[in-house]
Amino acid sequence: MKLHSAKIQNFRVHAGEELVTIAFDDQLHVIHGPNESGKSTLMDAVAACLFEKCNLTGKAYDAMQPDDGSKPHIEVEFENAGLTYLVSKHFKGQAGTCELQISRDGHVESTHKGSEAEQLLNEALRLPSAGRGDRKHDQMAHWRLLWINQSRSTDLPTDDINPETRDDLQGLLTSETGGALTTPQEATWIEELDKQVAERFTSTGKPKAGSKAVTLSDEVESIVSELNEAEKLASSVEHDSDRYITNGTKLAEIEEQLPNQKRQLKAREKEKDAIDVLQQQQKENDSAIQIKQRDCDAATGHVEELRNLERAVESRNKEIDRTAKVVASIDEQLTKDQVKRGVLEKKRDEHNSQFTHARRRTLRSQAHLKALRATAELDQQEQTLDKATKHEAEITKIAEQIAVLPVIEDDVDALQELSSSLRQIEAALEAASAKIRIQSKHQVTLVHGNETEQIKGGGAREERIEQQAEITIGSNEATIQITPGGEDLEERRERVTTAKNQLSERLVELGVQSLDDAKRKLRERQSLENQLQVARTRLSDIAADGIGVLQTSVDTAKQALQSAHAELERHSQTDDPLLPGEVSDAEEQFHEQQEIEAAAEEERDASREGLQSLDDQIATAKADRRLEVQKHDSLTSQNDIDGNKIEALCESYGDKESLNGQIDKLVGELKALNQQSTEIGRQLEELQPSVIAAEIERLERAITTTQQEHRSIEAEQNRLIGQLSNNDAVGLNERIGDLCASLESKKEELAREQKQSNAMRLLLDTVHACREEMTRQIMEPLRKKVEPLLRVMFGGAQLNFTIDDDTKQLSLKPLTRDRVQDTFDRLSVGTKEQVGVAVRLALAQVLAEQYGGKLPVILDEPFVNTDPERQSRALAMLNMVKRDLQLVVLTCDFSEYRDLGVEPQQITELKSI
Amino acid sequence: MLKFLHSSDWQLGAGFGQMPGDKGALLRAERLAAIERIGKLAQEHDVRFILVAGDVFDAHTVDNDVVTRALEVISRFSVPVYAIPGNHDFAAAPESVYQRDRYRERCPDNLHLLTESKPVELSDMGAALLPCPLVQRHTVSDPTRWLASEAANTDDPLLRIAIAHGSVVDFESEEGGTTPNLIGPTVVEDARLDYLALGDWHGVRRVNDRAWYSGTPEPDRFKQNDSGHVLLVSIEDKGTPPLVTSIPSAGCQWLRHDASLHDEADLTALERWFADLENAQKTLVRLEIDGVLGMEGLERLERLLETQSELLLHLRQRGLGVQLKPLQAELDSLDREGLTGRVAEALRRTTDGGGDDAKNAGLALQMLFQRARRQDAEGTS
Repeated sequence: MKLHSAKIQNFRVHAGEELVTIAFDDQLHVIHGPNESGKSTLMDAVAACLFEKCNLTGKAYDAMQPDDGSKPHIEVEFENAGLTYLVSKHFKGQAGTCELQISRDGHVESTHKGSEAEQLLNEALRLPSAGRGDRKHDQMAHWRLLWINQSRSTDLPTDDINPETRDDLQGLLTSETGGALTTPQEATWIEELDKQVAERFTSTGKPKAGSKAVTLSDEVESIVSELNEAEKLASSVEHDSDRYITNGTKLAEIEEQLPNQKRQLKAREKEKDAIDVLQQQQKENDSAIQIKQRDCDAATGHVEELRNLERAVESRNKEIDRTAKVVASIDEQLTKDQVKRGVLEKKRDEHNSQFTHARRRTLRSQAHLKALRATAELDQQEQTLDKATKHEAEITKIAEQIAVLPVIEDDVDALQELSSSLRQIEAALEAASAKIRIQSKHQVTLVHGNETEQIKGGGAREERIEQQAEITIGSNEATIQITPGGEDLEERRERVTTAKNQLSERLVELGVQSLDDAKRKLRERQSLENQLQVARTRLSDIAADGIGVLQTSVDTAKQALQSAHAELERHSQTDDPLLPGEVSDAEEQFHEQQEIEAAAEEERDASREGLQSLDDQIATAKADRRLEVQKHDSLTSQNDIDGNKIEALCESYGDKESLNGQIDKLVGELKALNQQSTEIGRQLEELQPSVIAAEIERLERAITTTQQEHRSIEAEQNRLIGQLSNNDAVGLNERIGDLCASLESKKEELAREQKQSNAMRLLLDTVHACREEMTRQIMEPLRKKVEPLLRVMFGGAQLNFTIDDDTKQLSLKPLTRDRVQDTFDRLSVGTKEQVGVAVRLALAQVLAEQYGGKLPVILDEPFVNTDPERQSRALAMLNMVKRDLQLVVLTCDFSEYRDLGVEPQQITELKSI
Repeated sequence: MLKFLHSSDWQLGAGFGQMPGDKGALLRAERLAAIERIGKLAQEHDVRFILVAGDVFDAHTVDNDVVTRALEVISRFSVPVYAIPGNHDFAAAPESVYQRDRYRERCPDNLHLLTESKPVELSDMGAALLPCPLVQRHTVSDPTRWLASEAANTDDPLLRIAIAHGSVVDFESEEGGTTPNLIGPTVVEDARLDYLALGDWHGVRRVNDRAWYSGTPEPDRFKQNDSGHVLLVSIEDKGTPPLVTSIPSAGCQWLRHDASLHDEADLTALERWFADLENAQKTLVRLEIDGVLGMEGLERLERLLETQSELLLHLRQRGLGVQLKPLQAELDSLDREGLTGRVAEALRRTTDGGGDDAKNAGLALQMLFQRARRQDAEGTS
């Protein structure tokens, strides 16, 4: 369907003589004009003509009337399914009229009026038949979806789908999938299934408490528990029974074993008695052997003792003889050594004397040498002292000369400074004084103060005037008043005077006439000081530590000389050879004498050593002799003691022979006893006493253990028989069988129920999955229409639709952009507007199938909330659909729609009178 | 000629735990009925006595009513019964059922429990019974060991009939030597036996000409080992091999049946097999089925199994079970483009995967079809 044209008269603002005529473009028609110019009113008029009844009354009718009270008249021509419809409606309240002309290919086919015309119009527009409802929403049917008023651009588009549109859409959408989503029977059945599954499973898919499966499962558990108890009892009975039988066997074994063990013990005990008898015999035998052996050992000991004593005496006698011989030999040697010692003593004395003599001569030569050296030293010291004394006298003399010349360099500098200062002050005074020159051709007398002076003719006089003065020329012929111009003249004069006084005072102080005189005296003084320095240096060279020290050195030298002389005197004898006069000769003599002394000393020491050696030899011989004598005496004494012992022994035990007889007898007796002992030992070894003892011990232990075991088993048997005679176990076999049977039954029932439940759940899940898939498929055409628009608008977005099971209402799923999902109501106002228009355009495209493939969509300021960038995308979106739809855009600002590439129409252009 | 019945392993009071509900009680009652039948067979075949080679009772813990009823039944036998304790009712148990007051009070004169390994001479019948009772539950020593030495010391003209309980060969395991109560294979010759009546193995089994297992008179499992018989033994004369005849004594039949179901013909065959069963109320069936069926087929199978479970004493299902694979026509019957059709297709795909999911999906698919069918029926009505 598409709009061809519209003529509007007396509709709200378009009143009076004004006629508005619109010839709609097939694809895109843009009407622009300022606010309140009546753009929206035009399309409201077209809507009123198409969707309102001509005999409309009430508020809606009042609202369409212009202020002048004239009655609205609207004509709309449109084309649908090959037919052209021209509708003309006069709205006059109850008296309103409607005419409808239907043409085909330019030829009028029929003309209708009144309710027939309205009815045919409704059919052409696929509007609900009259009487179905009077709400505008219902009346406009899906046209409300396409008639996008300014105020509704941000509304949820699917809210504008009324039941008829919904059915239409479903019909259109499901035509590809072959039918409706769910039949009413299916819906009822699914509801039942849902209920059954909900009774069996929780929302998380677990079996629901109280459900049959859970009840059965609890019953199974309870039976299993009961069965376990019964089987435990059965197992316990079986175990106890087996144990009782095993114990019975064990008891029989023990009862057989115990007498045997006791028999064995008795036999072993008998053997033990025999062993005891033998062991007693052996003990007695051992005791007899011990006594005999002791006696034998004693006799043997005595014999041995006698033998040892006799051997000792004999041996000592030999030693006594030997020591006597040794003493005699030592005595002989000692006599020889005494003679030799006399000779050696004499020789030693001789060598001592020779050494003493040589030693004295050495000391004498040494003293002489010292005396010669001391004399030389004394001479040198005395010369030095003399020189120093002379230098000292000279220094004293120069110092005295200097003392009378007090001017020093600082004084001269001070005088120089005072003199220079005076000169500077005088120059300053001169500069400040007046300088006059009086020249006269004739002689004149000048009276200056008290002084009078004459100037010859042609002569002149110059004078410096330092203070106010008056010069009279001639006899008062002329008087010249002179006032010098310099300032502080007086002060300067005083300073000159002061300086002069200071200089004079200093000169007097120094005892000089002038500065030059002072300088001269200073030079004299400096010369003397130089001389003094030279003299002091010389003195210092020879007596650095002063003349006193030199004097001390002289004294020391004298003392040394005296000491040397005294020493020489002490070591000199009358027959001594002459002493040389020179130091070198004296040194040579001294060295020669030293060598002689050393030779004498060597000889003397050799004599002493020889004598000492002999003395040592003699002492050793004497000590040896003493030892030998002591040994001899001791041996003799010991022999006496041993002789007494031998006598005592023989007296007590008899002599050796008698003792040997006793020993032979005892040895015979011992042999017999030992043979007896060996025999008993052999018998004991055969009987193995340790084995028998161990065996007895083992058997006793074994019997105790066996008896204990017997008692313990008997106790257990009593306990077991008590337990087994308990009647609980009777019928247990059948009880277990019955429990197993019940368990089997319940398990089968549970398995059936679980199988049934799982199948039900699977069925329900499959139903939901299939329905989801069907919805997706059904909505596919719509999705295919909307997605390209969204792509243009948002550069890629997904939007799906769902159909409510109960209401069959189409609704939007959340919009997905960059994986973020937003429901429509959460979108911004601008985005709502853009998504809303896209959805409406898509729905219009689907619905257009019923209208020959085209439908008009009215867009009244559709993108008023859209930013400029999206505005251009929105226009691209409109361009995309304009071939499939007929778009009528109303705007107050055409600049925003310039990119659409169509010529806009000013509202004023549409008006004519 | 001496004729007697050889039986064993009565296992009175056995639990039948694998049977759900009260089927165990029915089977226990059936065992007692089998004993009654043995009594009648004895009379019928005019035997001199009945030998029970161990395990008269299943355990020492059986209920008193079992003991009382069994003794009551035996007391009505026209011939004496000679029984030995087996591994289930071994002699030395302190809690032994044979020591129970109830047993002692009610034990009839014709029941002789032989608990000692010593000959019992039945001179009037020309036979000596050589019992080899089990004293303990398990013993490593051969319970028949005493027979050979006893044989060496006797030169009796009486028929030598031994009764023992245990394994002559290791039936259960491949390796010998681990089985307790093992009986030496040469005992018949070593002890010069005319007949060795064996118990423990639950089916009839010939060890050699003179040694037989009688098996239990009433089967107790689906093991196909020829159980449910007593042996009629006739010995003409000493040294003559005995004539042994197996006589059915079972009240219930335990059957195994395998079926692979893929189409209607298979289903029909299975229905026929069930229909041909005699005495269904006393029949236990272990049915092992697999295969793939459509919706209709599966429902038919389920109806069949449901009916048979109610009819038979017991129906035990084993095997992989039958998978649902809806037929194309069945799938077409649903609105293929609609929700139900799509759900059916999705479930059908899951059934192809196998495992628990496939089973669940099969059942879910069944539910879906049943719902659709119900709806159709409602629509039609």
